[in-house]
Amino acid sequence: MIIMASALPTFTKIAKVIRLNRHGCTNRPFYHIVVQKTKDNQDGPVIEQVGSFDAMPNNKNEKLVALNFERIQYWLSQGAKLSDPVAQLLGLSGFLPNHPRTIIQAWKNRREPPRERKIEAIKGIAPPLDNPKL
Amino acid sequence: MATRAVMFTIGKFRCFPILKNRVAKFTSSSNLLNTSTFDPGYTRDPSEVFFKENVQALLDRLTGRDYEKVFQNRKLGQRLEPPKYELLTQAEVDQVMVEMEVKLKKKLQMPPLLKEREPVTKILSKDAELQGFDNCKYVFIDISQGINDRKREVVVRDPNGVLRDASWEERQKMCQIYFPLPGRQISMPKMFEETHLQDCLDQGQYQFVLDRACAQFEPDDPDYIRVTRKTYNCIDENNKFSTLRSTRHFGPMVLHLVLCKRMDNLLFHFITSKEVKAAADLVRLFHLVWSDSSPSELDEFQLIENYIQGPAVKKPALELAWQTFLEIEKQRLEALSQQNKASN
Repeated sequence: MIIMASALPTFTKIAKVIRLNRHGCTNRPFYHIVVQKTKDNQDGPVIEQVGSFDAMPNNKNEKLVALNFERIQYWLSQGAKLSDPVAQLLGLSGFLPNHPRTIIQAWKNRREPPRERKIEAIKGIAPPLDNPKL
Repeated sequence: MATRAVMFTIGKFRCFPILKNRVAKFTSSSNLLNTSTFDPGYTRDPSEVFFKENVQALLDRLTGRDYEKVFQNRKLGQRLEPPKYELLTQAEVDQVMVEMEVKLKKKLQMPPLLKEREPVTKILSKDAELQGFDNCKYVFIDISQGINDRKREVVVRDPNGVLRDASWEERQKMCQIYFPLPGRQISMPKMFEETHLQDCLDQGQYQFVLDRACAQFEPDDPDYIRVTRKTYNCIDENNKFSTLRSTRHFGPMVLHLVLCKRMDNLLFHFITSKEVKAAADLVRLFHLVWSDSSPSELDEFQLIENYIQGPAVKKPALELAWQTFLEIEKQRLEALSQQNKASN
């Protein structure tokens, strides 16, 4: 049963956070950008959804991000914290300054390409599998 | 269905195989009889003329008020309901007619003629330090409630670190994904590609094409302008003006033809169907658009004659039709006067 967290009474002030909740299916992530109490689980009660983030690029090589800036501003004014990925997204959108993590990741990507895993054949027993995930 | 929302939010179209057709080459066709579909016909901004009150009044009068046609049950994929019959007093009937008038005005609201929109070039920030943070671009849309789609913030962060306003195509796609309008698809329907569009027009589906274009595109979208102009020119070539009469598209079509100076077929149509008032209105519109002044003649017959003698392009056909009409009128008046004498 889905419980509206805003309908439950709180007696102690628990911090609120704006973070990504993973929805979607196996191997196909889709994130809801939500305002939640920090102690609640990722699939637990949500105070408000303030956006979405599609982590899989579409056929135009775009990642779509929807952000309800008006509500995000409100929750920030109420003292909500941001998780790192959400802060990075807000930095990329221009709402906040660029997050240091984005800058560091960009620098790392430029310094060397992401390492590829090489699977060696086991001689006489099995050829290497084609699955790059292993 | 395909009826357009009353608020014309202005927002455009993305990369697609049709792109090379969209960037139309505006060269005039060498074949004067068959105007090229890419020939714009005029270069002036139509919105200067379209929104004038006297022009709107004339277009409204020309459109006509065939209640049967405007309120007919159209097969648009919605459930049809049988008509309701009610017993009303005269006062109640008048009240209902007033309400119907309001509904009619809404159904006959004309989609505006605008010039093509300029591409978006605004760059918000250039962050070279973010180059390579990801190998795809991030498209952000502001989903705050109560914002007009035109003014909604849609920005794109490219892999090279540039933060820019989204292009018209990206903007329309994003707004349609998150705030869908009925009757509109995210990508352009295949129907509006050249070959398929030509097929539709050959079948005579003018109103369907125009309604769908109205639902799919914004009025200043180059594709909307291309589709509507092609449809109007097709109707003009085939003399199928009655298909659009009493629809919301008749006004913009008439204005388009007047701006292209191709209104002679329409005038011929009005004269042969004995609609003198409509013919006179058309000539008045011509004068308003091209010389920005209402003509001095108050007599409709004189007005039309002066036009046929003067600025008309297809003089022989029009003169013949006009003479025939005058003779028929004369005979009709004679018959009427004889009838009156006989009855008296």
